[in-house]
This record gives sequence, C-alpha cells and structure tokens, in this order.
Amino acid sequence: MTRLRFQGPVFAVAFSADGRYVETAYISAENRDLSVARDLLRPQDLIDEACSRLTSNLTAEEWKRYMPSDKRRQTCPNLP
Amino acid sequence: MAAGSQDKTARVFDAVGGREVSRLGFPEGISAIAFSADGRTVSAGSLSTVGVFEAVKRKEVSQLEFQDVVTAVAFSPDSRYIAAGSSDRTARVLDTMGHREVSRLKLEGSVSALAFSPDGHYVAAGTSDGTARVFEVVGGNEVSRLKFRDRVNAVDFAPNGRYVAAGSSDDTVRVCEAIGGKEVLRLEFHDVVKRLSLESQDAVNDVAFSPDGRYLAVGSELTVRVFETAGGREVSRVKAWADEVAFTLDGRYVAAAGVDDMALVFEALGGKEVSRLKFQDSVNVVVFSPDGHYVAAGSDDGTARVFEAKGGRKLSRLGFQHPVYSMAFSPDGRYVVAGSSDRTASVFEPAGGGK
Repeated sequence: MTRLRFQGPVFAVAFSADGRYVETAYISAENRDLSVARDLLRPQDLIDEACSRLTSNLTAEEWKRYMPSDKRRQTCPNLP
Repeated sequence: MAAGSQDKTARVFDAVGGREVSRLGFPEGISAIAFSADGRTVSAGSLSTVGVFEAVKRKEVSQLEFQDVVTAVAFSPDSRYIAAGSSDRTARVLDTMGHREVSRLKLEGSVSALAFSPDGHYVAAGTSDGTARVFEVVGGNEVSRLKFRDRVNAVDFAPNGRYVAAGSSDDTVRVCEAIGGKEVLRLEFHDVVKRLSLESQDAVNDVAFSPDGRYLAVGSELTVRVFETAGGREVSRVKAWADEVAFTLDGRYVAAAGVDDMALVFEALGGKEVSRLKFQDSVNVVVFSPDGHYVAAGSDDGTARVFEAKGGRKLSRLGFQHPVYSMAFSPDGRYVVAGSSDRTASVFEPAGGGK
C-alpha cells in the first residue's frame, strides 16, 4: 500500500492507538542513534493535513495547465 | 500556510506555529498546487515548471543519541513512549509527543530486553549482566530488581500490571511482583536439558503472558511451553527453537518463531499444532492480528508474510532487500506494517496478496 523510507535500518514499528499513524524507530550513526518517525497512514488524513496548511485550490486555468489528463475537482473542500 | 508564493519557492507551513516543514526551489513564482491520489505528495506549478514534493513532511519525533549500539527497543501500548537500550549500559525513555527524554537509567550491562507495563507507567529492562529491573517511565525511579546468573533475554508484564516475568540464559523464568520484586513463581528448565542428555543449555529467549494473565508462554532453544501462572503447572509443550512467542487476544492460541526458519501456531492448552509456515531463514518476529485470525511474521530471508492462524493458508507476502525485524497490526486489523533493515517500512493489507 505504501512504503516509507528512512535514514537507517528499521528496528521497531507500531501503530498509534487511534490507528492514524505509523511509528517507526530506526537507527543511524553506526547504530548508535535511535530516531522515531511518525507518519500519517490514510490518504484522506494526509490530504486533510495538507489542506489545513494551504490557502486555495487550483483555478480552472491552472488545472488545465498542470493536470491536463485529470478531470477538475475541488482538491481541498475547505478552500476557495 | 501559503502553498504558492512569489519568491520562487513552494512552501508548506506547519498549521500550528507556522513552522516551515518543507521547501522546494522554483525558477518562478508558484501559482498552483495539486495532490497525488495517495495524498502523500503535492505537485506545485510555476509558469514553466511543475515540481513534486512531500505534502506533509514527516514529523521527526525525536532522536536519542547513545554512546554505543542500540540493542533493544519497545513501544508503550499506546505508542506514546518508546524505550530504548544500548550496549552503552543505559536505557532511556522518550516521550514521542513531547519530543523529550523522560528517563535515563544507568545499568550494569548491555540492555537485552525491554517491555512496558499495560498502563504505560513502568518499564522492565533486562541486561546482559543478569539483572531485570522495573522502573517508572517518567523519572526512572527503580521499583524492583531481580538477579539472575546469566543474561536476561526477555521481560513481560502481566495484563493486570502487578507481575513481571523475566527469562534468562541461566535456564530459568521468574515471575515477580512488579513493585517490590517479591518472587511468586520460578520455572527451571534444566530438566529438559538433562533428560535429553544435551550438553547445551536451554536458554529462555522470550516470555509472554496470556491476555487474561492465567498462562505464561515460554520460548526457549528447545521448546515452547505454556504454564499456569498460579502454581506453574505445564499445560502444553511443543518442540521448536523459539525466539519469539505471542498469544491471541482470547488466549486460546500461541504463536512461536525462531532460528529454525519457521513460524507455528498451536493450541495453548494441549499444544496441538494448527498451522506452520516455513521461511528461508530465521524468523525474527511473529504477531497475531487483533481478532486472532491472522499471523504476521518477518524473517532474515527478507520477507514479511501473513497467514491464517488456523490452517496456515498464505495470505500475503512482501519482499525486502534485508531482514525484517518488526511487524505490527493496526488496532482495527485492517493494516500490517513491516520494518526492515533495508531502511524501509511497508504498510499493506493482510489479505492483499503480494509476490
């Protein structure tokens, strides 16, 4: 479904209790450092998160220029 | 919060606090954005170029820096905390929400096992010098200590949090009160070694309580055995090299896996085998789905596989370039994640097939 990439070997994985995030512990610096990354999992959660940071959708003209093969849609329902 | 700007960069800002989380250079002002179907990337367009970048940049929760290699890692049940131990003889706990270290313990040996209590308030740590300790997650205050004659390979808390079990290379398992350390059960494994006239020991590799706390599964180099926690009566025994053991949520089945390249499932009472899956190399992890129907296992052969607990029908298989060390089911059982030393983690549907 999705493959996440990290800076070092993955030591441990877990889902958050609400199931929305994947938590990954990976090691680096010759296995001396441990980092924990948190990634949203579901496409809709990712889109909602990004939409919360944006200010507008593509105009008709922009859509035609950048997404010529797709039918135009309101990417972020919360935005003009 | 602006996606496109006139200063020739595309930026995504953190909605909370306005921190910039990603930036991509463009030759001209950005005028448009669009999402990929999986929501993971954004296309940003200027008058002449379209760039693609990560929509929501990974939140690097935090980092723990040790003086020597990391040897053990465990997530708390709610994934809020992560405990990590190292050959530098420290164990530390990180709050993944607050991005900070909440405790640090100086120990006498390399950390070989870690486990959180079910309520997430305590951590048990086993070390190479033969000590198992229980300490408070926040602050690191020690609440009990147990001494073995050899390396502690496994620790687990009882579901009620009152007891902790520890298994050692000295061929014993002990169950003690988590606070105070009063011993309530001791299992000796020398008998098997003697009876089979083996020269090697029967080191205990893993221990796991059943979800109702009535039974304890013990994986060793020669057997997987299940005992009653009260009194220590043996209720099943299966011959297998077991590095990992796990119970289903209903406590009826036990899964075991290890260096003899297989994962198997048997009835907790009686030990009747219900499925077995062969790998090409050692199996590092075995976990049940929340409903107990599926088993996920990951191996040094670079595969993560899911099979039916009863009957062993193969459901999915995912290939990696290096060993798979860790796997987990999502709480609703719809997804599995597998992490590999090839620096990737994959999320997939348990019955999704794969090569």
